[in-house]
Amino acid sequence: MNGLSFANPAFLGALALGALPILIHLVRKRRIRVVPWAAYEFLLRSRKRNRKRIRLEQLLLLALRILILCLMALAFARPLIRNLNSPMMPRDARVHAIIVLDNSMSMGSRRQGASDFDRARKSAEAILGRVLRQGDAASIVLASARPTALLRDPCFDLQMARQRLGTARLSDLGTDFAATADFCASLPSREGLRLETYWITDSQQSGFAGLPPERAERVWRRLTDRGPLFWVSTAAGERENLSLDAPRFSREMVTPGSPVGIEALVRNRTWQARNGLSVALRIDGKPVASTLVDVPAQGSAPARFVFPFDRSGVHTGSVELGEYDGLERDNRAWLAVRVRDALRVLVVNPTPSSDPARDEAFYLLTALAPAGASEGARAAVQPTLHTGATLADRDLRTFDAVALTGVQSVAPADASALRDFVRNGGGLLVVPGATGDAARLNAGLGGAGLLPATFGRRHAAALDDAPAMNPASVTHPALRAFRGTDEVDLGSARYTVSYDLTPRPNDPDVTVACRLTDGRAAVVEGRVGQGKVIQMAGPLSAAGGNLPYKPAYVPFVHQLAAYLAADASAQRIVQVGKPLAARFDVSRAGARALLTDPTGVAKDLPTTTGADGVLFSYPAAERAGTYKLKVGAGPSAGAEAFAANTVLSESDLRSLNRSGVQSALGAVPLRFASADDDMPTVARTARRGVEAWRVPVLLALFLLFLEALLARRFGRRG
Amino acid sequence: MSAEQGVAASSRLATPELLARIAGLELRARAVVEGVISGMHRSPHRGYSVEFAQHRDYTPGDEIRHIDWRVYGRSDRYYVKQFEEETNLRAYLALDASNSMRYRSGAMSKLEYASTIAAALAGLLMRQRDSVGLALCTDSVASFLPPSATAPHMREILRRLEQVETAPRTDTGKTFHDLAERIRRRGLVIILSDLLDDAEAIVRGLQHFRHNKHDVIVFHIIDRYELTFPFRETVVFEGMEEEGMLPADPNGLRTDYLKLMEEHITALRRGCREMAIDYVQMPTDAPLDAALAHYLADRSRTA
Repeated sequence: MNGLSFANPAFLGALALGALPILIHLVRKRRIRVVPWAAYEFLLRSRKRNRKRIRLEQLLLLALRILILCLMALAFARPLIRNLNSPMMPRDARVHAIIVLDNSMSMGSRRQGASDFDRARKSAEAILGRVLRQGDAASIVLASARPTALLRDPCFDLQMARQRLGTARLSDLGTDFAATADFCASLPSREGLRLETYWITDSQQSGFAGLPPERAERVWRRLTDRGPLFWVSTAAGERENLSLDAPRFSREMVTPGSPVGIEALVRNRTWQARNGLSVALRIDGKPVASTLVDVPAQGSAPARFVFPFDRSGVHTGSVELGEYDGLERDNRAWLAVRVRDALRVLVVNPTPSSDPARDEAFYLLTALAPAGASEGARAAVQPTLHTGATLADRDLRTFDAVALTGVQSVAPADASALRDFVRNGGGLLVVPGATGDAARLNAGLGGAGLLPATFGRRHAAALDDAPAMNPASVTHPALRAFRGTDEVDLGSARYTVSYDLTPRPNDPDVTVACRLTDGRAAVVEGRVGQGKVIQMAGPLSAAGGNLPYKPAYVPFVHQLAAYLAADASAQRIVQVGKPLAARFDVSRAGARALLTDPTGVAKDLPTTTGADGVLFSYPAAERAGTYKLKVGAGPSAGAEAFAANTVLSESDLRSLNRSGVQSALGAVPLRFASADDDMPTVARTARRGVEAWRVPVLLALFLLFLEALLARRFGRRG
Repeated sequence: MSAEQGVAASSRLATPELLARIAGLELRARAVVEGVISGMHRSPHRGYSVEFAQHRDYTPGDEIRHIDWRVYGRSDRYYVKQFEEETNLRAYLALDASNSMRYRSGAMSKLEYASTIAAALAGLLMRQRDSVGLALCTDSVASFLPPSATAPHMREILRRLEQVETAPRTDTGKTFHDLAERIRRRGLVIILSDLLDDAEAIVRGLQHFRHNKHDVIVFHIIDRYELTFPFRETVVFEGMEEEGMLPADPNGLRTDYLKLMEEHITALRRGCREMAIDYVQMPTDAPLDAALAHYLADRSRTA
């Protein structure tokens, strides 16, 4: 609902000018001249014939002249049309402007030589320089998935605010408008200042996805209750983009000389298919492979590479698109990997048997280091058999994983050692024996908090009736390869002996990785500290079923071993904005940890030492690229690397228009503007209303023209 | 300088400059007029003045048969014998003396302009030894001076012209009828008026003159403002013949007024043409001598 007000109401008094033509008429009537006239008769006849017409013409011209003067007076009073719902800001009111500058990655999208961020900054400068006046204050917030304040408290020094704005940089972070709105609503304000929020953004659609509409409205209303919200959009038309998803390795365990698959998904967010798109792989700074990919319009296609790492250690690299588009930051995806010489697995079997068919560890040992495998593959896993009653004589730190097979009970000292081993990042595989005692295992290992599930009743069945593994139930990443039955059929393996597994309830660290065909849990995974425990429902020996005879057996146990051996630093490839964390052995306690970010800046990391080892953590990786961590000094220094990749949704450059933004924000009052608009005009219009002086001026000019035309037509001119 | 010219020259109306300008011209009756002495105008009475009177120079327009060929044989010059058929002219100057004639927008009122023309024509006719009479017309014939060709008569004409008393009312048609009744013998009637009256009545009055076989010239004396109505501001028009006051916006009336005036003049012009009367429009801002000389020269060519 709109109303009318005036910027210069004093000029409304000039409406009295409308009486001027009448006054002139009256004055002239008083001073009228008498002219003797001979041809009086003609005049008399002429007047008789035209009296009515002349009167009408005179009245019409008089009305036009009055109207012209009134309209001019109205124009000088500067009429303002404004929304009645928002009160008019008094002329001398002071303002506290919160300038929210979207610096998420999508703002780096360029067109016509300038990025959206450049445009946004220009609008912000216009607000600071031309909208705000002496006595006004400003706060500056950078909007992204991690909103930050460049100027938190109201700053009255606008020059300083401008300088601070100049330090704003584009980030690789995603967008979360609701989080930023929440952040802005909590910013301090100053009594007596009218709060205005200028939200300068590309209105990226994915930025609104954080909250459902009804909750979003509550968040936004907290902001708009404090003052008007100006939504300044830099978006103009459809933006197209090509992007790369974070690379994935074909397996967890990467060893030297053993080729590993690296795959990155290329997404084509344009309306044209891109065929023959060149994608390159770079490892440790050197280009090592390239491939061509055909990507359909609005679709995706994987770029696949196979690369044999030639030495162990931490490696970094990237997958790069050969074709550049408007947004370059997501044309490169980063990777980091630790290549290990070998996976050392301690296989514990306290009750060995001379009959391989009855030995609980025979098939497992054989599968971990199969005879006839290639030298490189053989070297990948180095199993060690331990047949002792206790683990007291073993230094578990020399192993990556421990597999307990046929264990009847675990002594408290062993349980404690195993707990420390797992909490420090080790992997534990718990396999019940064909004749084991579930209650004792529960007491020993479960008491140490190492069992993600409780062993229950023992089931024994004939092979034909025995339950099998159900590949369709696989949800765990470690068993991803067995999900289908095309390559290896895990589903044909049956358990003649199996135990009920009851996962720890309401524990987010516990996952059922696979189930049996009768619905019971077959494999349960749990996290303890930095390590992992995998608990099987049945033995991995021939005494408990036919799994060791199946082709799936060898890859199955390899996959489990590799998963268990993947240490705490497995989260090397992360999304931008997520924290980075690395855990080293307690022997590293007190060592200096130096993190070098993608821009080459190195900084010390704080450490936390505990029973789980030494934790080095970095709150958030805000730049896409590789981060390298060095712990300690000299040849024994520990090293780790991380790859931070751009947020997938941030590459989707679709923007919302005015109505889209309004519906995403709910029913909050919103003033929409384009970054190309003149900011002072936008602000003035919102504060005072739309200046409508042009209308009366144009109308007056038209009437002036009409008056001249009619006066000539009526014979009053010329 | 003739006696008539001497008399006229002493008047402020017939100025020497004006007289000099029309000195070489003459005013002839187109129709047959009745004179008492021989003159330059054709007489209806054959044998009444058959004695040879004089020779005079041939001027274009004279009938060839009147040329004295014997004199031509002797002197090789053309002379016309004046003796048998020609007579002198009785001319009547009818001057409108209504109040409306007093209107002026420039240097001269219509009355002054008309009087000057009347004086000049009187002088011219006297020079031609024609008799000139004067009638001052208001709503009737206010004064009438019978025609004569003597110098005292000329003086009287000039005196009356200089001392014209205007009357508030006019009735041009009726006055013409009165005047037509008074002058029995055929002659030249010269009307000097602004003719601001009913055109039909005026034409009927003129018809009366023509019915009595008079030659008639109408000088329509008119002010330039009456022709163009150039007023812009609202004014009060005051009728000069006691019609009253009329406040009016001239801009709104102009078109219609000019149309009415045009119709009036057209009606007069057409009436005159149909009766073979010379209609001469004389705007008061036109140089009088030039306008009169132009007319007289024009008339001489077509006589």
